[in-house]
Amino acid sequence: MRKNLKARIALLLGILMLLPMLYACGGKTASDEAGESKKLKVALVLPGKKDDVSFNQAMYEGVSAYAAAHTDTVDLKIVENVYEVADIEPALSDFADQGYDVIFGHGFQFMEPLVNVADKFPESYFLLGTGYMFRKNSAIYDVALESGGYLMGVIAALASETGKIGVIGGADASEMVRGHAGYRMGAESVNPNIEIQEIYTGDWNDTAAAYEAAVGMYDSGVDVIWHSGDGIGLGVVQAAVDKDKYVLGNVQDQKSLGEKNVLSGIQYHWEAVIDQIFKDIASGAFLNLEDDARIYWITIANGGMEYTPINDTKGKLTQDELKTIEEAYQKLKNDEITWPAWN
Amino acid sequence: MKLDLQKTGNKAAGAVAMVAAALLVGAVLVMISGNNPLEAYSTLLSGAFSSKQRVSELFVKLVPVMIMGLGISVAYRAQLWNIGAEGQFIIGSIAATAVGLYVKLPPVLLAPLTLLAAIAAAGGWALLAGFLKVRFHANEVITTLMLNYIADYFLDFLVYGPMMDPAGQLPQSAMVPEGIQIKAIFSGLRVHYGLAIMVVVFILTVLLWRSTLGYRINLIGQGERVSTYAGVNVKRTILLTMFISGAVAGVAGWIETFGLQYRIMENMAGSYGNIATVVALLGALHPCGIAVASFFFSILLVGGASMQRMTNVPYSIVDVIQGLIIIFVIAGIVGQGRKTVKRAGRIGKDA
Repeated sequence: MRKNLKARIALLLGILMLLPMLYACGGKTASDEAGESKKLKVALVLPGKKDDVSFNQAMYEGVSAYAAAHTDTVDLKIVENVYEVADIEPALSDFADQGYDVIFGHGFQFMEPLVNVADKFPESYFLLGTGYMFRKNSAIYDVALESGGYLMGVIAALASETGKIGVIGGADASEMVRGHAGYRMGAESVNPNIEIQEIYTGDWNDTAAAYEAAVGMYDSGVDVIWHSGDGIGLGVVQAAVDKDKYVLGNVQDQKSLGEKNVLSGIQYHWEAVIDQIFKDIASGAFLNLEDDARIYWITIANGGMEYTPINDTKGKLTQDELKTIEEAYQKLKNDEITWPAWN
Repeated sequence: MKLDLQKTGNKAAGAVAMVAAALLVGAVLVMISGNNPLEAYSTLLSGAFSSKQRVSELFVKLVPVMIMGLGISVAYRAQLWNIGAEGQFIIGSIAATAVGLYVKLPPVLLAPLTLLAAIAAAGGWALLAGFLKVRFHANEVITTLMLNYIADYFLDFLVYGPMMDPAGQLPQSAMVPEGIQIKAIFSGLRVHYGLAIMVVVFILTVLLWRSTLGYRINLIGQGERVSTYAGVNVKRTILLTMFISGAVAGVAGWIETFGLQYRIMENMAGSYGNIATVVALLGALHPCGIAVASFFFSILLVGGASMQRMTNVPYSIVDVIQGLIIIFVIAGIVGQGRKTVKRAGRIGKDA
């Protein structure tokens, strides 16, 4: 009896384990057909959801736009929610192993796994969304936030009635510091005496802390806040809705989060550099980039950022002021602002 | 004895049925999402086996899942519902990494010392819950769960604070010295010699159930009064069982840290703790059952990730399928375990 039963179980489990092998053989045809054409196989690995009204969505739309415009040469695969450390490296290396040519890891936390995998797969090209480490076959894309910040500063200063505006950031990483400096410059270009409050929550995703910071600012008389953040942005927008004050968004059009309170914001267009990245890959220049050219920056000047349509529900901006905003935007577009030396 | 075996057989058949049911419901969901379930599942399977890299990843996942599943099973046999494998895994990793980074010794001595540190710390962490149970009758489900949170936040505190890698800005510690890292078996693939340690843990577990200690642990699971009549020191055995269970999870943490990440980092335990719990139950607490269940879940983890990457099946479906299996397994356990629960209730009253 004992042996009988064990044997039966073993048989059953054996069949279970065999099944995958059978399927594995059948599965090969799938990868064969992928190699049918000489399309560039591109993979985008996102740490969050592609509709997060922020960091992930902006990149999703950017890469999708590029792929849609190059359907005959580019084959795009997108994977979402890869954020556990245990998942990042296998995801990247599986794509490389499956013959993907260009692999985007969209986020700072991808940095170390991405350069590791780049070492293992010299035939593939790797792109890292913000960070500072790279290899011969990898580069970084990032945002030069000062130009966007400048524009937000102009809008905030013009829309403010109290003469007090605010800016809230996540961690004080260098691009954020530059964005905030730009914000200050832009605001002071409109009103040299403006009071600017600045807070870093110290964390990218601490929505609650950002909410508290924003409420505190609004209560002290600030009537427009720009957030330079990611997850924290949701907290700031929520505070603006609750306090019925203006807020300026970042990364992705956030009007849907506060129809009456999101005055405007920065919309990233990663496709501005994505285009250049693919050109460099096609021409072979990518592998020979100088170290300081290994970061592809989006700016207002290269079309990587624009401001979302002014949504002045409280009627605080005059026609002249709207014109001033557009002029500042054009100035930034023509790269006519001199930036201080960033360290 | 015969009856017992019959039960094991039923459990195995039940486990297969539960998995099949979960896959069936999952298939319906895949269909609703506008995809072909056959294609999805065949991608899932080929996604786990169709390249060297994928098979390597399969074993990379298998190591922590199976070791932790085995560790959990030790406690469950004694009806000690330790759901703190995650916390024990984390504490073991922290202790091993701290020793590896801050103790200066030649690798030959340092490597075993880090393993001992992981075993002692993780075992001690589980022992806390054991002590609370023995001394204050605190329910170990609650205490081990709470200890998970403490471990998790303690890890966050360390990697954002005192143990943060001075060379970077990421929430992770510095790398442990190369001399004490567990080597990869093949160059270019991540699968490492932790696999051998997994086999050792498996053999030790099999041996445990043939030893008197294993018998005592099983006996405690039969009820406190029975054990006392049989001359077993119940309290001491509970403490020892919890220690062993935690220590095994600590070994998994040690392997994951020294064989894969080479450092501790935020969220390093991922969902291994929960999966290991399901694996232990799905495997009916038998080492062989756990081995098979772990292998199955590794396929699901690796293949599921590939399915998500290679087909248009949305990410959430993968999660839903895994969740369904968990629900069916738990439902099955509750159904089969009614009697056991009643008995456990009686023990509670006696104590």
